[in-house]
Amino acid sequence: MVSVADLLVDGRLPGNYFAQDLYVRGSTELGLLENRRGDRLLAIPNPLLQAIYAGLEKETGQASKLVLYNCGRWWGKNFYARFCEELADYYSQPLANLSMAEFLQSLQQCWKTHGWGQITLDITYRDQGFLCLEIDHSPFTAAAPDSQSPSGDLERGILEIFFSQLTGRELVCVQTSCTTRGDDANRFVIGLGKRLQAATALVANGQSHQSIMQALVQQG
Amino acid sequence: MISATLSATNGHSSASQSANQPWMRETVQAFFEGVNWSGVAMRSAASATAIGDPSLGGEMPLNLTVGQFFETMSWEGKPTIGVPIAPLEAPSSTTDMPSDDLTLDDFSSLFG
Repeated sequence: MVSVADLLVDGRLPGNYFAQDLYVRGSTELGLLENRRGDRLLAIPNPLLQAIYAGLEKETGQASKLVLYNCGRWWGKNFYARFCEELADYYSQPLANLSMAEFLQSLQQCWKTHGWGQITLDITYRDQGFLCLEIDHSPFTAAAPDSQSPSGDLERGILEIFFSQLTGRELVCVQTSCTTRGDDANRFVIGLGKRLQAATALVANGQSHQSIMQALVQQG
Repeated sequence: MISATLSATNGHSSASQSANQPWMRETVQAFFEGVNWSGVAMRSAASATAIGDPSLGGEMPLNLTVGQFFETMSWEGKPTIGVPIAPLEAPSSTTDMPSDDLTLDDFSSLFG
């Protein structure tokens, strides 16, 4: 006879830390939003997102992509710090010791709970040194004006710094498909900068994610 | 495409998911250490077993060819995975307030 108590670690069973009903708290009367640790959250209405894109385009033109990318890198570092700290506290062990299943479920739920869409890790090219990420239903690119070049610069900055911090390496992130170009999802590839140099030109040529990945793998 | 989309489970991944995708059972540390960032051709599974550890069926380093030996060198070192960091301080929004302490030099330079 198996006792449930024997299955529990330290008398508790860690669940879904970022579950929306548990993670986001607040008082609508006071207009306050907090997470389950009491850290303040900020709700960004869609018109503000659209205004940020429009305002940056008007004020900085071509540089707006660079501005958003740098904002993503800056903010992503804090996101990584908090993500690490919250998970380590919740699971009572360092992030490095979590199973990939727990890590990925947490990252996906965290992304969804914050309203940033659905993020998926694609490890098809792991042995060739590239990790791919796909983001569906991104509110950021949904608010961005249609463009022939990918518009997920904020997410690109966040992912780049997040995985650089996580792996302890200087990694680079390139967006290979984008909904503002008419693609079905936003896809990103992460790898060493020197091995992703060719990707930027291929993206500019309008190549598909698949053909870009094939080219990157064949370059050795 | 091998990808991971997890349904929300209460704590642990479902057994079927882990069985199909053994990498899901790896720790974060093991998974990200296993990414071949440099893209150097991976050795076949048979020969990749614990090089330099004969007890695990690996080859002695001195039995390898020069090429094999240097292929397996981790030139970029082994960075630590998942190191926690402190959040960055937000930059203080300093506005360039005009300074009240006008020196005689400042004053005279107005007529320079």
